[in-house]
Amino acid sequence: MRTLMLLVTLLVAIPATADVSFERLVNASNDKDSWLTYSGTYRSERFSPLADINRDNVNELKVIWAYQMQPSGDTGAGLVETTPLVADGIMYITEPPSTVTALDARTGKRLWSWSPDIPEETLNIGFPKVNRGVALLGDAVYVGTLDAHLVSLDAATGALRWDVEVADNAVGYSLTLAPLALEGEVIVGVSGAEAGVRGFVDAYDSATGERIWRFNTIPAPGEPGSETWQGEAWQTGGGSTWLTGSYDPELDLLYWTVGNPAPDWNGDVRPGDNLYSCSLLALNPRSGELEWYFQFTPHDTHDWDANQIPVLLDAEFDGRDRKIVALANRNAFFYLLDRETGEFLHGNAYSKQTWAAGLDEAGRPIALPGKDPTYEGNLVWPSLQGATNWFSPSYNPQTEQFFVSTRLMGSVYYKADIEYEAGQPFLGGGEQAMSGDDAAGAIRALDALTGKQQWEFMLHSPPWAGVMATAGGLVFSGSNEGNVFALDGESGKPLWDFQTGGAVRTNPMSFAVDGKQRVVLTGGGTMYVFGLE
Amino acid sequence: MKNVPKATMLSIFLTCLSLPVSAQSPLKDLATDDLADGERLFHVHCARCHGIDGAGGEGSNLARSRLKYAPDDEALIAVINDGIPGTGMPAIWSLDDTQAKHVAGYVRTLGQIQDEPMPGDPERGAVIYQTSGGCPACHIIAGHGKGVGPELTEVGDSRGIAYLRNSLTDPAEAQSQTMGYQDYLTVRIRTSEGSMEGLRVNEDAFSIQVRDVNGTLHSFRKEDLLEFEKVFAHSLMPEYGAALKGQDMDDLISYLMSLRRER
Repeated sequence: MRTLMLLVTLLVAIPATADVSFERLVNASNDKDSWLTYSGTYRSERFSPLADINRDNVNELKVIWAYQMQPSGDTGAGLVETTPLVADGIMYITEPPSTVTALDARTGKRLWSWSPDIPEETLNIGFPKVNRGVALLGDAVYVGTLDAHLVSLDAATGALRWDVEVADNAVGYSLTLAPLALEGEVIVGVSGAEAGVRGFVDAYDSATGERIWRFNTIPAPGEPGSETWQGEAWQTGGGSTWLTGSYDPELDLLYWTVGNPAPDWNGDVRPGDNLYSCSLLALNPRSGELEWYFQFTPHDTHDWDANQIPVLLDAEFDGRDRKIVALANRNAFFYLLDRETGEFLHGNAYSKQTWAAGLDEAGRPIALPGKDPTYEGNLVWPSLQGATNWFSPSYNPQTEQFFVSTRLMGSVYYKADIEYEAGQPFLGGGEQAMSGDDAAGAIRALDALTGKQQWEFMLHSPPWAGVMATAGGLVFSGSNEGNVFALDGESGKPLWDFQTGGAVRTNPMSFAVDGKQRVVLTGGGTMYVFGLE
Repeated sequence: MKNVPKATMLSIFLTCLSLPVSAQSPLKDLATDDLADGERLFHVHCARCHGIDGAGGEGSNLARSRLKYAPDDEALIAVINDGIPGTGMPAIWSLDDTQAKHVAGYVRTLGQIQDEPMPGDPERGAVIYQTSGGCPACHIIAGHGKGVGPELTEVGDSRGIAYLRNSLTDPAEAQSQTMGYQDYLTVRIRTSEGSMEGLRVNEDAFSIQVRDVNGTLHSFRKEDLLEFEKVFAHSLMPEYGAALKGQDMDDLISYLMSLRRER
C-alpha cells in the first residue's frame, strides 16, 4: 500500500516524457487534455473539446502562470508567433528566432531549452525572424530554423538527434512554420518567395532526417503546369510553402498551401497563371505526388499567398455527405472544396474586396480590369497582408461555424521594374497601406457551409492573432492593442478580456493539467496561461 | 499631380533638399545622387513594411522629424544594420555600409520639410502666441503651457507654412491630412453619469482613454458607454482666421516655424 501511494505521488509530481505516436496524432481530438499538433488536430480545426471554461464562468479567468520569451543570439529577433504543443504535462514552445523550450505545463518552469547557432548574416527577406512552433512524434521534437534547417531533438532532454539543411538560406530560403509530423515522416515547407526562391514541400524520415520526397511548387519546363509559365521565370517563381498543412488519414492525403509568385507586384515578367502559386495542393504523403490542386488567385499581383490553414470538415452539402476542405483566403474569398477531388463547391467574399466581380462556376475569380499594381499606384482591397493571413481560423464542429480574424484594410499598390539578384528582395513594387482609423479588424463568424456571416466583433486595427473556438461555446483571440479576449460563439458578444501589455501575434490554444482547463495566449514576448483556479 | 510617377515626384523633392545634419553626422557628406540611391534601396528593402512613401503600414511611419528608435543618425544606421529586437524590424544584412548610409539619408528626408522664408516677424509672433492668441491654454512649448493639443516645442521641424496656416484657419481640415491614427481625434461620450467631449488619447476594442479640454484624463470601458461618437473632420482647436488677420497671422506662423530642435 505504501509503495502504491509513493507511486501515485510520483505520477502526480513528475511530468511524464512525451510519447506521441502517429495513432495518437490521428486521434488527437479524443486526447482532450493535450494539444499535439500545430492546429490541434490533423483536421486543423483549432477547436478545443474542453468545456470547463465556458460562457457562464469565463469572466472569472485569471493568470495561472506566465513565461517571458528570451530571444537568443544577436539576430534582432523578437516577435512571438508560436503555438505551444502540450503532451503529458509538458509544453513545447519556440522562442524567436528558432529556440525550442520545454516547460512544466503545470507551473511554467523551464525543463530544458535548445538554441541553434543562427549565423548573424541569416537572411529573412519578406518576413520577420519568427517561428510558429514544433511538431511532436514519438519521443522527438521537430523544429525548423531561420537558416532553413530541420532539426530533431530528444523530447525528454532537448538533446540534438539530427540536423539537416533543407535549403540554402543564402538565396533566401528559411523555415518559420511548425513542421507537420505524419507516420514516420516530418513534412516542412519553406519561406522565401520575396527573395525569388522556387518553393517546395519536403518530407523527411522522422528517425534519420533523410529526405523522402520533394514536391516543387513551381514546375520546370515539361512538367505538368509548366505551360502556365514563360521563359525562365519559373526558376525564380516563388510559391513558398510557409504554413503548416492538414492531413486526412482516411484518404491518406496531405493538404498544403502555396504562396505568391515572384516577383510579387510586377506580373509582366511572368505571364500566365503561374501554377502552383496561390494554390491548395493535395499530395500523396508517401510519394509527394500531386493528387489535385486548386488555384485561388491565378497570376497574383498583390502578394496574396494562399498560406492559410486548410480546415477539414465533414458535412452534408447540397444533399450529399461530403468530405470538405474550407479555407478563408488572403484574397478575401471563403472557399469550400471537395477534399477527395478538389472540386469547387462554394465560394463567397467574406471581407471587402474590390479586385474581382466574383467567382465563376469552377471557383476561378472573375478579375476586374485595372486592378493590378501600377507605377502611379492603384487602390485595391484587401491590402497586401490580405483579408486574413497566416494566423489560424477555427471551426466548431458542434455548431458548424467557421471563425476568422479579418483585416479590413486596402492598399495603394505600386509596380516597379526589377531584376533578380540572388539573396536580394525580388518584389517589383510596393504598397502604401491604409492605416490608422482608415483600417480596422474584426473577428467574423461564418456559417461554415454557406460562408454567410453570422456576426462580427470589431477590433481597433487589422489583427495578427488567430482564433480558437471551444466546446465551452467560446471564441478566443487577441488584438494588436494587447487585448486577449473571449467572445460568445453564438452572438459574438465579449465575455472576458485581459490587457497583456503587448501586441498579440499568436494563435490561442487550450489544454488541461491536473484536470483543469488552461487557455494560452501570448502578448508581446510574454505567454500567459489562463485558468479558473 | 496624379499622373506624375511616384519615383519622379520623390526625385524632384530630393533635389530640393539638403540634409539637416550636424558636422559629426555620418550622413553629412551625402549628395543628391546618394539620396536617390537610398530611395531606390528603400523601395527594395524597406517599402514592403514601411510603405512606398515611408508613411507606414505594417512598419512604423518614418515620415517624422523624430524617430523613436533613431534619435540620431548613428542610431538610424544601427537600426538598419542590426534591426530592433522585440519588433518586426529585421537587420538588413545585405546592405553594405555605404548603402546603409544612403538609406538612412533618404529616410531622414522623409521627415523633413523644405526650408522656407518666414512670412513675418517671429519675435512679434511669440508675443501674439502668449497674449491675444491664448495658445498656452492648450499647447506646451519648452515645458510651459497646458497639454491639451499637440506640444509645439519643435513644431518648426515638421510643419511648413502651408500646414501651419491651415492649422490656424481650418484646424479640422489640417488634422484630416494626418497619416495613421489621428492623435487629436474628437470623441463624444455619454455614460450614465453624463456627457463629455474630448480628445482620444488611446483606444482598443474594450476601452478608450480621453483627455478633456482642461487636460484631465478619463478612462472608459466601452461596455459602459451609452453613446460613443468619433468625430472625424472636426477639431476642438478654435479657428483663428477671423481673430488673427494679415500680419498677425504671418508673425504667429513665423514664430511657430522658428521652434526647432537645436542641432
